[in-house]
Amino acid sequence: MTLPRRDLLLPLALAALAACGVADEGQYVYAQRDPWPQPSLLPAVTGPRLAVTNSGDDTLSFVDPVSFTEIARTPIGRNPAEPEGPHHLAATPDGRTLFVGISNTVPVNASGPHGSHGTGTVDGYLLEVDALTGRQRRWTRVHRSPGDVRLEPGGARVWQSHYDLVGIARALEGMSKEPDLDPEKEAAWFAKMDSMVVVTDAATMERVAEFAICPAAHGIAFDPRRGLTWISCGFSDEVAAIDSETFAVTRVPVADDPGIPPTPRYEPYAVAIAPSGDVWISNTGSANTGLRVVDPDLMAEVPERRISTAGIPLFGSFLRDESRYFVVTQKPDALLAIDPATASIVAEVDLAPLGCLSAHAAVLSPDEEVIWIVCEGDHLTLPGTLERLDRRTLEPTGHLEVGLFPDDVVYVPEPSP
Amino acid sequence: MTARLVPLGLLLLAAACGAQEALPAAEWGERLASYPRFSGSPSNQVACTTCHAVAAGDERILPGYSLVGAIDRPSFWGGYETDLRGAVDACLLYFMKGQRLDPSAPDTRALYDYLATLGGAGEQGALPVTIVAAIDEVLPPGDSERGAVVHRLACAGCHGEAGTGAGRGVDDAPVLPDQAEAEAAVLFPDSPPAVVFMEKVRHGPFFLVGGNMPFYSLEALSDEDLAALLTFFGLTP
Repeated sequence: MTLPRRDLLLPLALAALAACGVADEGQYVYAQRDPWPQPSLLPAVTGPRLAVTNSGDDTLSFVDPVSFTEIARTPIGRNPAEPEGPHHLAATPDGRTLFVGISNTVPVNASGPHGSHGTGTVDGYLLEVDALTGRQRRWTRVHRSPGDVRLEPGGARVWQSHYDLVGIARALEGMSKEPDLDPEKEAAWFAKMDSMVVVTDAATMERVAEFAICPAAHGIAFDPRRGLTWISCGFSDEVAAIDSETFAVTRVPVADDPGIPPTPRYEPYAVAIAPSGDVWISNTGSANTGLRVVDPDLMAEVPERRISTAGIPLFGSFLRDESRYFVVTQKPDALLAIDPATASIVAEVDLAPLGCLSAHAAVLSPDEEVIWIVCEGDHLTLPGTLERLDRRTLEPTGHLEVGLFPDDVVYVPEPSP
Repeated sequence: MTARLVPLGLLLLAAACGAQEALPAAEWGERLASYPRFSGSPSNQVACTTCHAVAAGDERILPGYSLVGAIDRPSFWGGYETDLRGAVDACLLYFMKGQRLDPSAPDTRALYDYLATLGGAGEQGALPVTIVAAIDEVLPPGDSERGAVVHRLACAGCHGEAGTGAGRGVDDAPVLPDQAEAEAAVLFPDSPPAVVFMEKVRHGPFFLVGGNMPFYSLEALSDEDLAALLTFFGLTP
């Protein structure tokens, strides 16, 4: 059979193209075998570490807890030009992953969206960071002013609160000057002040749930025995108990004379769960600084266990036998050792002579021999610090400068093989 | 007829293969560095070379550092991008309307090969990038003649000639200063035009300013030159 000329040219041309790899990378010779390298930002991991969020300079500090030296300081965030305020963080039990909240609230004198704590006008993020390399892997967008970031026991889900004061301000803008006597309308108006909680699957970074709980939610702590997650409500003088499965919210006042949003009297900010399940709330309101305890079975505050503090109490940690609760205060900067059974302060350490300015959190080592305290510094020019104390003697054993405005410290276990 | 076509076909095949003799990918990468469509966006009109020099002697005042030596700089963006891939991704996302690099794509590999031919950084290390975070007040008047020079070297490539926009490289870059002032009055009605101008120069698309223009750090454009530019445009007090 004889092919017409026109029909023969087409197969020949196609053969030529196929043989020579037109539109194929084979036409180029590459000189670089490993283009666009992205090496680890961290030295090889040889043991457990501490990780610190430096809110003021958008970095993470990685610290060797034994030598108490900074191993590395790595940038963190999604935007290389703007301050983003990495706020709190959590580490997975296998030591391989960190979750960092990007608050987009930074106390810098800058144009744009970045207010001080709680006044950011743009949404924040939850970042997933490879704890072995320091590199960011994935992120998910959350809401304005993300606050606390905590991994629930077992490590399956990340809970993130939002200390969103802008939402409260916007609700106030829409408020009628005359009191509304319709309870439903009034409740709806108050509900506009409630900030969101976002629950994220730690393995997939998919959103599991998001729901409004209360105004200016912040500190998060878990009671796995009762299946409850507790979150402080800064502007309603409450603490919210959330069913960890159904996400049903129960709000419990921290006092019998709570303020009315947006005028709190107690300003609960941080929360810690004792091994028994008692809920310890740090109240920062200037006229009522101190600790309050909520009984999780009664779902009520226990007046007999109130502790007044000279300073503003923030984050703390319990010994596993519940014989002590260690919590820091600001103005003055101090570490309080509290006997939960008697609700009394049994020891107090002045942190200022150690070089600590604005203590923010006290974290116990897994063996409970060491207390690490993160101190914020002056937020703008004076670096923050980590202080290390002997848990038994409360004597200082280490002092380390980190970045600007450190706001959280977490123990990162040595990765399992 | 058929017998006569076979040699012709073989000749075509040979010619085609000859034309496709393997080339150094860096040659293609060099073309990509000045090719806006590399970003993948049909509306993008800026390329790597719009903002970065690739040889000594480039007199332009550019927002980005030279690509000479970029291949082994230890970090970028003042330390907030820790490798070249992240730095290029940031350019693509914020200024070139594009997506992140696919590091295995032939074009992307070719661009890297080209950057490698430009040479290493030697002992240069990371280069500073100081972002002026707060735009508080308008700079004092500067040297208008210097401002004209700054406009030519820093602005004209995208915005064209002052007052007319003639020769502008980016269609939606406003003519300076009149069109920019008019747009500023609409977009930022509560801010004086000079402040908007400074925000745009110092922040580019960041800090809620918006758009695709890259920003000038203090290292890229001094306050003195910015003041001169403002005076040239009649925007200083």
